[in-house]
Amino acid sequence: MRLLHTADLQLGMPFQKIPGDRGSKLRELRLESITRLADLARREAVDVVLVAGDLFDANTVDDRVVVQSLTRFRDMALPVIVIPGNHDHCAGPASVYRRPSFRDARPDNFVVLETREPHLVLGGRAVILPAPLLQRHEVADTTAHITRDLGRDLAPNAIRIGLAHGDVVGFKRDDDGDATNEIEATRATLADLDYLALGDWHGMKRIDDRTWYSGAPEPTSFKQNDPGYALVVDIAAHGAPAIVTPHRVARTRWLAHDMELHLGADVDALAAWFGALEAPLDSVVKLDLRGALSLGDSERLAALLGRSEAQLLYLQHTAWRVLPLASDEELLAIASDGFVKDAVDRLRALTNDGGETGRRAALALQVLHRLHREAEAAAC
Amino acid sequence: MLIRSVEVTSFRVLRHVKIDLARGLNVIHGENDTGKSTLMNAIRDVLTRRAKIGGATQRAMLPRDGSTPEIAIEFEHDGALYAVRKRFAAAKGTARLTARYADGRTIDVSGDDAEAALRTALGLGASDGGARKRDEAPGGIWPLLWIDQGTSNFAPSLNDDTRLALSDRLGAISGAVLAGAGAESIFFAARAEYRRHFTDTGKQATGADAALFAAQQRLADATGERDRLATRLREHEATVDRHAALAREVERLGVLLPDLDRAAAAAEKRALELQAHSEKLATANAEAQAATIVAEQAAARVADREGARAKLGHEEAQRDVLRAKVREAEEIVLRHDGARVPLEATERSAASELASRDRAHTVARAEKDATTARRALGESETAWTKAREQHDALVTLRARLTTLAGAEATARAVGDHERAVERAELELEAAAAAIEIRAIGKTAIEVDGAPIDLAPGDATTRRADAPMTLRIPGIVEVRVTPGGKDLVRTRADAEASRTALRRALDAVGARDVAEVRARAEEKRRLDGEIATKEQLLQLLAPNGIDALETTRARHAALLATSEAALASLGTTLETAADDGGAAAEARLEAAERARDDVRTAHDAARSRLADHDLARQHLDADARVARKEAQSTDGRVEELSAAMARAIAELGDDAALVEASTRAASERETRSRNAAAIAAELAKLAPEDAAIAAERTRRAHDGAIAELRDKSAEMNVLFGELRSADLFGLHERLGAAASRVDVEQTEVLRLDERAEAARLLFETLSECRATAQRAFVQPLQREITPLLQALFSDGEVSLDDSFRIDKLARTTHGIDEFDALGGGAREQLAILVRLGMASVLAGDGTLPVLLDDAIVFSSEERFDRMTSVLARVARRLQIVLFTCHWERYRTLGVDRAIDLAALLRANSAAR
Repeated sequence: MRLLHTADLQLGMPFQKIPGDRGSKLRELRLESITRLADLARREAVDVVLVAGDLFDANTVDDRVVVQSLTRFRDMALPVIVIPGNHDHCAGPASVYRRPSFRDARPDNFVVLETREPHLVLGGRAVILPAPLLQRHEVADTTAHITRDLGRDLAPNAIRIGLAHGDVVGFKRDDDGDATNEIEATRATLADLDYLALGDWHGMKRIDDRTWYSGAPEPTSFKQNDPGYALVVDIAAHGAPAIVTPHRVARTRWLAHDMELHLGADVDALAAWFGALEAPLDSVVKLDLRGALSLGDSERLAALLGRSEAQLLYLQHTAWRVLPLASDEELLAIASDGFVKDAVDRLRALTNDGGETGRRAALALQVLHRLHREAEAAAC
Repeated sequence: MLIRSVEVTSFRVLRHVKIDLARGLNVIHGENDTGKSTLMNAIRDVLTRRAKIGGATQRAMLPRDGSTPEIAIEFEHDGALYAVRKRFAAAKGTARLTARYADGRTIDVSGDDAEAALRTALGLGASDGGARKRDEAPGGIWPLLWIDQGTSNFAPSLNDDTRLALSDRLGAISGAVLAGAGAESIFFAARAEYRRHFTDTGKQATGADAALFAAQQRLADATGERDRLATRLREHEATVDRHAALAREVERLGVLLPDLDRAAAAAEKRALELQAHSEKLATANAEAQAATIVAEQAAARVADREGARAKLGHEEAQRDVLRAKVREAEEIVLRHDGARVPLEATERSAASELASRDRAHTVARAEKDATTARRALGESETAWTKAREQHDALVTLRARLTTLAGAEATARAVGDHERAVERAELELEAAAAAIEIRAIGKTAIEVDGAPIDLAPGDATTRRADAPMTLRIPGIVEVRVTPGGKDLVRTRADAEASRTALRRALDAVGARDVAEVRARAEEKRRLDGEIATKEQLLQLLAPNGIDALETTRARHAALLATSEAALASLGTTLETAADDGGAAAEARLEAAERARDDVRTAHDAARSRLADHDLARQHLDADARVARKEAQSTDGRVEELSAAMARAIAELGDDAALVEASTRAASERETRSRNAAAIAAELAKLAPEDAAIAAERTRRAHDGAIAELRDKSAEMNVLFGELRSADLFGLHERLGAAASRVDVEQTEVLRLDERAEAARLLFETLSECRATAQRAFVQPLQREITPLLQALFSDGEVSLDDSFRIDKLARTTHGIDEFDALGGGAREQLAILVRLGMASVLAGDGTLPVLLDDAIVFSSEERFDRMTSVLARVARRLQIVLFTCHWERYRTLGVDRAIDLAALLRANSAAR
């Protein structure tokens, strides 16, 4: 059999750090990831699609997200098996999977496993042993019920596939995973599984030959944990090895970059970095900037960031931490004598003091520089 | 600049005048309407107006004869000597300027060239000034220096030229601390930037266009929305957890319920068994209790019978004792009655003795009263008789006195007349001639026919107060006629006095004065006697003689009464032994003593009898009580005997009662044993434990049912809440709200930083600018302050950005706005500031300061100080004062004084 393993689509994620249209765009791209998974599934001719939890970002997501996603899964035209994760755990009547709109829109190929009962697929060739999260935080190992014997009575020779969501014990936690639901690392061996499909960690991760986190199909943060993949898994028969092939499905690139700016050349270097981006239109960039620039270079930096902001999917930066420090020539240009010169000297002395006052003084000098240029422009 | 001379011809009221001005202090004086202000206007016009001038301005210059005004002026300026002459006419106006510069170069120009050269020299700008209105001030610094009549108390309003000139001068002195207009425009731009964020008082701006305020508002809104949604989500999650917990509970209860059902049924069965047993025990207990009651009743009857018998016996014994007591009491009474007879006899004999003593005492008292009355009557009669005698004598004396009424007054009147006669005689004596007749020999002499016997050698003196005839018969007859009116009048007066005396005596029927006096003496004597008698009478009868009479009558009545009392007792009063009542008194006392002794004996006898009678009453009472008690005991014995008879008839005799009681006790014993046996059986079954167990089982069962019902109901409610439509999309809404909070937070921080930067910039610029301005105007302050302190000893004036007078600060008065000062102080301050500015503007040179009647609001003392200030500044400035008060300046030692009127007169005469 060939299955497609994915997880943590977290549909309906609000991207609260990314406001406005850019946030909407990202939310839309998340829904589109279903379509990209469908393309991959068709291309790879998989038999079944497993979603290892956190399909939805919350039980309270908007109905539009529910209906839109179900429509896309219907179009996939493959069996889709889903377990609730910590984000969309079984919350009784409050569960997104019990919502009337969900029930009305659920296509026949879409199955949610809300209990720990084994589930046969492909006409009994394989049995899915699910570990749905019955509450947000389970106290014990969520896969403890998956034993050697579980499901044997239903199909003694079927391919045994575990489907779980949580934190594998004994491995460095993925920072994007947020549940403290434990999973025994050797569960696949212990329960004689052919493959254990895991969700929760957003980066792709191999635990052992038969135990994998697929990661999220689209990144959700700037953390460098290798998100954006789906896994195609081939298993010939029960007891045969699982052959896992990662496929990149992400469209957005989340890039974090930090830089200290002091010279005009640094601004040029930053411009070059922007220029080298592969897919600027799909890039979400976080720039951690520091340093101090002359007033002229500050303005160049502002212009560069303005351009990039317009180009990129989203640009978040800390340009405010780059102090505009007027050069001697610039200050001299404002006033060479008189009380304005005195004021410039005073503010400059404050700037050297550093701290909040220093920062304010630097900004005040910047304003003065602007006012001076405006006054000159008006005079011309 | 220094004005050397001015020549004015046909300018308004001035036909022709030429004056030369000195360096220093010039005073041009003259009466009102002499043309002082006209002269000052002429100076101004020749310097600042073009010659080709028409309209109202030119008409105002014209003299009455309509000839063309012409003014010439010579002045030094920047080392050059200028001579300007202008004829003012619309089209035909002419102007000529000659100048000789320090380097010897000269120019001589006319018309527009002359005008332009002059304007350039005076710094009046390129515009030719022709368009200037009649009353409009000229440009340049001159309005500061030339003070017109009536404007001296106005603050100098500096035009741009003057401000620029001052700035240039101050800049030249203190260096370029203010860097021109560019710096100012930056300052104003920074202020505008500041005002976008803050109000004038430094508070954060809150208006519609205050970006920071708006962002803060949006942040507050977004935070509120986010918190509301977060709370909603938390509540929702709590509901989810609660629902899950309830579901688990309900499931657990579903498992528990069948077990509870079974336990309840078992407990029910056991309870029924116990109930049957308990009922049996209750019956046995009731029977035992009934037997006990019967036994107790029988025993009580036996006891009652014994009690009744004892009581009857006791009462009978009591009855016998009481009967003996009654008999004894009756015997005691009989014995007591026998003892009364001798006591009664004693009392009667004592009573008879007392009656006899009482009568003797009454007689003695009556005798004593009669004796007393008789003595009193005697005394009162004696007193009355004496008083009567005195009274009668007094009546006689008073009758005598009436005849002498007025005797004293008459004696005084007659005395007066007598003295008048004596005075008249003396006067007559003095007035009349005295004729002394001395007999030399024996001869007969007749005076008025009456012979006088005179022996030879004898002499007699006759007063001649009337015609008199002296005759020696046969020999001589001398008729003497004393003369003079006085004598006649005196004689008449004497005669009248004598007549008056005579009449007074006749009126009282007295022969002479002595008689009258004797009568007066008699009256005084009588008055004395009467007074003596009245005093005596007063002593005898202080309340009047009638009171004595009354007393006498009362005593007589008393005596009559006493005598009547005696008579009624069958006796009379001894009259002989009147010893003042002493014997009667003694008899009365003896009778009283005798009577009292008998009375005491009688009282004792009576008392003994009474005691005896009281004792008998007590004995009677004792006997009555004994009888009553005996009767009562008799009644009780009868009742008890009857009751005993009834009881025996009803319940049988004593033996029957005892037998019934023994039977009942035996029955009670049997029943009690039976009940105890049944109770022991029940105790073995532990009914309490069973009851508790049954109750517990039942409660557990009912509780489980109730809990299941409640939890199911709550689950149903929660189900509704968990399916609430507003939860769908709550996640995204919360995300969006949090996102808005982030955005607005960043915006608030950004704007706040911008605002603070703008504040810092503006404040720094303001401080630097203020410092620069202070440094800039310091030279001007240095000029003004010494002048100011000549007037206001500790005053300091502050000037604003545009050199306008702002405030005057004095330690004595505090700080005053210029407009708040009085007219005099405003005038002084305004002139002093002008002089200070003029000094700055003059620099190393000089400038003409023209003051037309400029010190008018000041007091004498301030005026003097002002003039000395003017004298002081005249060392550096050319001061030209136009005044009608020459006398005030005369003592200043002016450099040039010009009597304008005299000058005009001289010119006129010359012409």
